[in-house]
Amino acid sequence: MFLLFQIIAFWAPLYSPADGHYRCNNGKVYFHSKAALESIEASSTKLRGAIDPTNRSFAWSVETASFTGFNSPLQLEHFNENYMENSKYPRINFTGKIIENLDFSANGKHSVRAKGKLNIHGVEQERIIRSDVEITGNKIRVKAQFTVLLADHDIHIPQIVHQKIAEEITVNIDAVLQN
Amino acid sequence: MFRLQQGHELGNAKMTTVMQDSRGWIWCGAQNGLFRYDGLHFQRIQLADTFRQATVSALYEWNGMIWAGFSNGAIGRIPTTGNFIPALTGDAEAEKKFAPSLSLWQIEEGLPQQKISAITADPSGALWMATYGEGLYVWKNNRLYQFGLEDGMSSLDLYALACDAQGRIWAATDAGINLCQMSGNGQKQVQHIGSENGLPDEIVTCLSTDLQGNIWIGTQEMGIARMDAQTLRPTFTTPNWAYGEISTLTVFGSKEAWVGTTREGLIRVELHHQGAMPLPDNHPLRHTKTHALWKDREGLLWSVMDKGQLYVAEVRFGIWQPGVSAVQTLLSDRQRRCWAGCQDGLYLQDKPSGPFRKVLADNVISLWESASGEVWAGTFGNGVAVLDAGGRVRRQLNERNGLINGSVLNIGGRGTEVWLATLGGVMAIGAEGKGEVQVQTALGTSYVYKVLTDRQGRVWFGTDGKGLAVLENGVLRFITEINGTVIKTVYSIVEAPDGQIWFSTDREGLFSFNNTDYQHFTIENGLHNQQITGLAVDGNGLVHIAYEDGFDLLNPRRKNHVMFCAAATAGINLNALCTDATGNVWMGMPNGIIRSAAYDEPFLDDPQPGITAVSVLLKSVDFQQQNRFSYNENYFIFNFSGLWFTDPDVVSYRYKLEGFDPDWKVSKDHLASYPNLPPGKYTFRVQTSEHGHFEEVPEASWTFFIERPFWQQWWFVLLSLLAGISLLWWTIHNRETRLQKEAGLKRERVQAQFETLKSQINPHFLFNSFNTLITIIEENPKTAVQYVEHLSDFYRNIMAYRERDFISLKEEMLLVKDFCFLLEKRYETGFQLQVNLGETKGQIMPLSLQLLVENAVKHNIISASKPLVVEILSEQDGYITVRNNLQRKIKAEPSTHFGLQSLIHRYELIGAKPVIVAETSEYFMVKVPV
Repeated sequence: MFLLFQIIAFWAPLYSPADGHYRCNNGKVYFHSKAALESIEASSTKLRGAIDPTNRSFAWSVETASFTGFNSPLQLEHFNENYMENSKYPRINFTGKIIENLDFSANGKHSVRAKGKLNIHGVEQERIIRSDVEITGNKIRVKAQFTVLLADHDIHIPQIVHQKIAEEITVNIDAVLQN
Repeated sequence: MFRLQQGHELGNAKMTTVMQDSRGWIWCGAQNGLFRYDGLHFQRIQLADTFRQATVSALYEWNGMIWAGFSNGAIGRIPTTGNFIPALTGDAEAEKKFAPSLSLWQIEEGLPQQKISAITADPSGALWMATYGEGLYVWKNNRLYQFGLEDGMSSLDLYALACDAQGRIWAATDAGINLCQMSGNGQKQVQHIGSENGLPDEIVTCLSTDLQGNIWIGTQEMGIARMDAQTLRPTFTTPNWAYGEISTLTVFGSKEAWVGTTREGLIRVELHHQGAMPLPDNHPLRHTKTHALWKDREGLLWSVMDKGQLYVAEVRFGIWQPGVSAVQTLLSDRQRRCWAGCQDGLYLQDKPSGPFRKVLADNVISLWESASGEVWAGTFGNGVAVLDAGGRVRRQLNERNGLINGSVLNIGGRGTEVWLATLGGVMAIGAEGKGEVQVQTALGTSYVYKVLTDRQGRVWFGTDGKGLAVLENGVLRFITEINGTVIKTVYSIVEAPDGQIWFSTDREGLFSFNNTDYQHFTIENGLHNQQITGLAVDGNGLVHIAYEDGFDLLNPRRKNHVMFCAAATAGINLNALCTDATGNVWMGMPNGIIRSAAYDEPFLDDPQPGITAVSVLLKSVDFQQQNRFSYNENYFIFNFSGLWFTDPDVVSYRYKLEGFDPDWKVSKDHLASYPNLPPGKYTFRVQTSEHGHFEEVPEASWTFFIERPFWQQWWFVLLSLLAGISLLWWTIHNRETRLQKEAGLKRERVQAQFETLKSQINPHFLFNSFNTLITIIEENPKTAVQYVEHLSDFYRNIMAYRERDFISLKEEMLLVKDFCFLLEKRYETGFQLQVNLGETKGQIMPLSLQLLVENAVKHNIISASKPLVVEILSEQDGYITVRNNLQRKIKAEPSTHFGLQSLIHRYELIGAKPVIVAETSEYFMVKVPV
């Protein structure tokens, strides 16, 4: 069902008339890791997402190749090829459902929790992610912060760069979806 | 039986839930509040803002903390090991620091937003939280997961949680039970248990577990059920449940469940026969809502009722059967029906807690049930009536058909032989009314109060006047003396489940006999008194000893362990105790019958001691963390508690500070204080007792150290010793040096004075001076007078200054000028003195400059053609230089070389700057420090 929804959300034309879904294709993802030796950060502005207000389900996706802002081109290369294995797993996905019974017509700020499957590096983990949602008319702004344990997603770091990359990565999301 | 728990600390708090932590404290959740209770005082726990205006809806102990779930989904935690007694001083800061407070559980995933209905942990270390509206959450490996509809939950509205022996979580919902598990790799499993498994009602409102590992469920309509955790099928149900929705339940052993309902108050369910017993109709808690129940470790039942009141009930002794009065003898038959013999007749209760009906109109004073199930009722004056199980009289035994006396005090027997103790003597008779009547004449005609046939076939007789008698293998033996105590009258004899015989005497207390040895129990051993009216032993082996005003419970497995139960149980009659088939003891009372339940579940039978707070110098310390104190932190106050909710007021304490107190101190206080403890190692030990005897009672202790002050530490002592020795050595050495120096200086000065005097009174000098005087005395008498004046000045000054260590430079210069005047007169132009002193300030040794001038004159050629020029110059660096042009005499005048050497040496001794002597081809130069 989520898979189906995902297909609809991403591969149906974005200008699909009045299906009631909120969409976004330029959301921001920013992550950073504070390791002993080096702090790494990168971001992407190609986060795509959709929320179906009728059943509170959602789907988010971002291409791993769209991340920029590493300390060096070499780091970018390592990120894409060694850690994320870009060619095998080109996308990071998070699909699921909002736990709270959110009223999409109520303008204002809401704190909700999104429960879903986070797929990074081809490994799916169930997660609950707390998000701040601000509804203004037909726009929804979603902000969230969460941590990802590399071990959870079978991302192995060679011993030699171990001190450069933290076991835990902090991820921030900021996206505006539109109806 | 239900005692309302109140305290001013509660205010108007409305309780919602109750639990006991592993250390014994009772925790009560309330609307906008959380309390900890020791049986005497409630302590309010501070709540963070998030919890305000919310209601505690779930409590659980996990990982050393109390976890409280709230109606708004918030979850808070508080450690159970905190210092819960505020500082004694009113020190606001310390109180704030140690004030117990509930802190919000903060996790990345955020907390639920719907009511937390239950919290429980599984053996793998995961914490499960049920919500009403958001399904089930589990905290595992530091991450929160949710079980929702998509995971197979049958509903998101959960009522209760329980964990079975396999670590599966049972979650009660409106649509059956969900059996949930989460594997190590995060895989969720949900199994549904519903009507297809035989669940009597799919709306399951509460869950509980028992000691056998079964899961008990309470339902909305169909009462309770016991689910086998292996087969997931019910093994016990209550098909004819008539008390509506169940809100909570708890199970005592394998015999009894206590059920809280939403409309009908508390219901007791006897599991042997599915009998549901509500409270009596007129009981104030009969038609109320029960919010929560908790069975504590003493076997007390805590309940939160109706409007949020907290009650505690000693259900073990609380069951009361009214409907009969002045019970004289009591019997519980094999069907667990109660027979009560009273003055006005014999009453039978057809079903437990049911009404009594009169089956015989005689004054019944003894009862016995035969092997075939007939009940023998001994009457006063009217012989014996033998009744069938239905209460119908089958036959009568009286003086006409063989009874020696119509008043039957007691009936005993086993198998086919019945013994009757009558006022006319003791006789044996066949149980079926057949067989030979045998009169035990050896006992004489004295009263026999009690006949007991034990499992070994021995017959025991309690006589009035002849002590205890036993008939064994046809031989009658009297026991009238036990270990020196004379036994005259024995009232009561019972056989315990372990085969021991217990008997009570009229005034010597209680005895037990284990087939080899006797044991004697008196007031010394903790008996309430020695006027024992009856005995019974329950299924757990506890000996019930009845008195006029209550009864004792004696635990024969523990030394001197006797617990007295007083109050409502007053007036137990002689024979009116019996043990039923399930091991419970029933006791007849003036206005009813009371039960002492023998639950097959271990409960504590002592108050549990605990050290609750330690304060040092009147400030609370975190004694779990700190046990070393400095020498001046030596004023200790220990707060302790003896949790005993059964009767908090009777608890007494015995404490001892090991390392300080030589003996134990017995006290009712909750604190002990020790001012001015000397340094050392101490252990504070506290024991609690419910009955004033302290053998084999539990103990709490805390060990701590008071350090020696630093000046008593070995390193300091060693260092001080070293420093002392060094100081002494240095002082002595210094003194020695100084004395040597002083002696040297003195010697030098005396020598110098001597030399100076010697040189000045040198006849040569005088001769020269007088020669000069002669040459000028006539030509120039004025100058001659001047000359003599200078000469005498010169000598006077030498006399004046020689005793002094230093004189001012000015004085010295005057002296030198006098001397030079004499020299100028003598040599005329051959001697010239040039003085170039900027300021004539400073101190100098007397005669030092004069000596240098004299030296110059002594060692150099002086003539008009070759004048000797002596210069006295001051230098910047604190020296005065005396310089002369060098024109040595060819033939040196004999010299001791004493003058200059002495000067140099004297300056050395006083530690001033050294005297500098320099010689060039032109000049001889001496620098003297000022």
